[in-house]
Amino acid sequence: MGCPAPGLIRHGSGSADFALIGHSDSWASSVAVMQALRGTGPRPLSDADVREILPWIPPRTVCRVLVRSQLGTEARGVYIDSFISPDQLEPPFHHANVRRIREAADCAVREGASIATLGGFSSILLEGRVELLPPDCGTVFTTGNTLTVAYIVHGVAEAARLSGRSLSDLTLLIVGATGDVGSGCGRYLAPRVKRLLICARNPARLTRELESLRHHDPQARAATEVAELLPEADVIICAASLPSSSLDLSRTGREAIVCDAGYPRNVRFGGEETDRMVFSGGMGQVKAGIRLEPNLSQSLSPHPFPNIAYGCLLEGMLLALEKRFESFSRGRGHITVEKVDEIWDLAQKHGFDLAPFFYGERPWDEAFVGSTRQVLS
Amino acid sequence: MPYTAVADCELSPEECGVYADILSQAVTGELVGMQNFAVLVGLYDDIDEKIEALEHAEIEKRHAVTFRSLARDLGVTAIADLDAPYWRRIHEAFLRRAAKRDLTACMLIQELMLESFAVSMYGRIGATAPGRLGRTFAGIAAEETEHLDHAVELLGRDFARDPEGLESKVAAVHDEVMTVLAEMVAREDPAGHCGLCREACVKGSLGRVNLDIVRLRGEALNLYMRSLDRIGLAGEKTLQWVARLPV
Repeated sequence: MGCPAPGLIRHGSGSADFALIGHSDSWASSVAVMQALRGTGPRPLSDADVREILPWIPPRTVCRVLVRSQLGTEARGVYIDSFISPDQLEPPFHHANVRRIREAADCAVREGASIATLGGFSSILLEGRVELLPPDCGTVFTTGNTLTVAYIVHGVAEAARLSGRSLSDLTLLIVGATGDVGSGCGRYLAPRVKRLLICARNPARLTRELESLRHHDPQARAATEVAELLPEADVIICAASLPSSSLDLSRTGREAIVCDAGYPRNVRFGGEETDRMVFSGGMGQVKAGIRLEPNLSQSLSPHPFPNIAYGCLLEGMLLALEKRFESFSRGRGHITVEKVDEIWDLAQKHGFDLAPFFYGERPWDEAFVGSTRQVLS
Repeated sequence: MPYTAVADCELSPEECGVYADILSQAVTGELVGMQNFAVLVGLYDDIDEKIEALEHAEIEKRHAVTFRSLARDLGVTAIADLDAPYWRRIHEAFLRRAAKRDLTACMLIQELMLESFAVSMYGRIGATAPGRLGRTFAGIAAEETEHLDHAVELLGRDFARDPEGLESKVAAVHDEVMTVLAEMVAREDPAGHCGLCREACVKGSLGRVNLDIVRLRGEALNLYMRSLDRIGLAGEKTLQWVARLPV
């Protein structure tokens, strides 16, 4: 029981259209959220304070969300934090984390949300099995992964274009290629790139994935060690389910395009990322705006551009605007080219654009793109 | 140093010392509860409610007596001091609300906030303390759970009738009373010595009996927040309240 009993609570104009279930990916982010809620009066919270408090907070609504379409319509929802500790995403904490996701899902039901989407590790923990969440309760669940894939595939295509190249001339490496997002990217991009390389930890799954992709690309290659494939890659999509940023890409070439679509971020650099074409992938920007109450935008979405959100969360908002309350994304391996195109079209319709390129706090400005093109030429 | 037998277990002098301080807090807290319920007897107009408040006062008294007898078995004295600074502030907050005949606020203080902490902490001590000591804490935690559940049910009805009214009342009482409780369970006493520990603050010694203040505080706040959830209060509001508490 994390939320009020049904019928007792209806804030604002009534039931929520959507619920976004998420969690912080770092202690710094958790501290920022808790400090924003604490305000400026009491002594500021330290990292140690938040590490002591956060694990005891039951999953709950953290803020109300209003999202606007460029068509003039709007949808109302809630952001529910499962308060999974950022350093407890590993397997030993699996059961406790799944319990928290289920409690967060109960919150979504009690908020009266017509659709709820699973951000970050939430869908990974459930392996996309939304059927594990409360059934027949008026709330449908979607992993949100299809829109994430759409933003990734369009993102790498756009990054290639900016660098003066075309995807069809480039070799693509997908790290985390057997996951829902990674495999979706593989199916979509296999016919569109020169050559496909895939990497994942589980050899059996990797072999199956390679077989399924070979009819698009007979030259496709797979390896469980990313280092084996890195030298050949022009474009790298990182979509592995890593509990921390541990993928060392410091040895990638200056010309490689890196799309880090992990949450938490997959990639670890040693400072050389400042001159690399690396960007936070799988993200969109809502043209007409997203409003949070209380206003936790700076803490929950600390990006160098406004109205940025992860594709998985935006999918829930988008489907709510469309009043399509359905499990658009579910399970592992069901993301098809047709579904990616469909959700991308909906995103364009409502002004959920591909997010501008940035990595951490650094946006790709014209000077950066220009210097990269010079290097490549 | 000889070990002290408490009916069915033996404790070292250091462990006895820690339990002595814990029992001082428990005895004083129960006596404050007894006083609070006794005040309610005079405030209720309805005879059944008067009787119920009196019964609750009697239960709190019985808990205090039980804890004192546990202390005697341990060969230590449980200090009962209703003027101990933190407890006095809580009782004074209760009396201020009682003077205004604000029965809902009184219920929030005694049966929601204090009971959330009592249920949680007694439950944890019950799970870790040996023998009769542990069983007694666990048993009293179960009885206090009934009080908490009863209060949540009544407050839930209040919330259904007047959501904004109850929310603003809980916010005000929370600021006053939960701040004191949070100070009590902070890693260090921000308002000085609690007046009940025999020497230095017991919080640093809880590890001797397999307890730690971070977990005790965390579990207490967890139960408090879940109780507020069950009443119907919005998660984002109660989270803000808790985020502002002293740490």
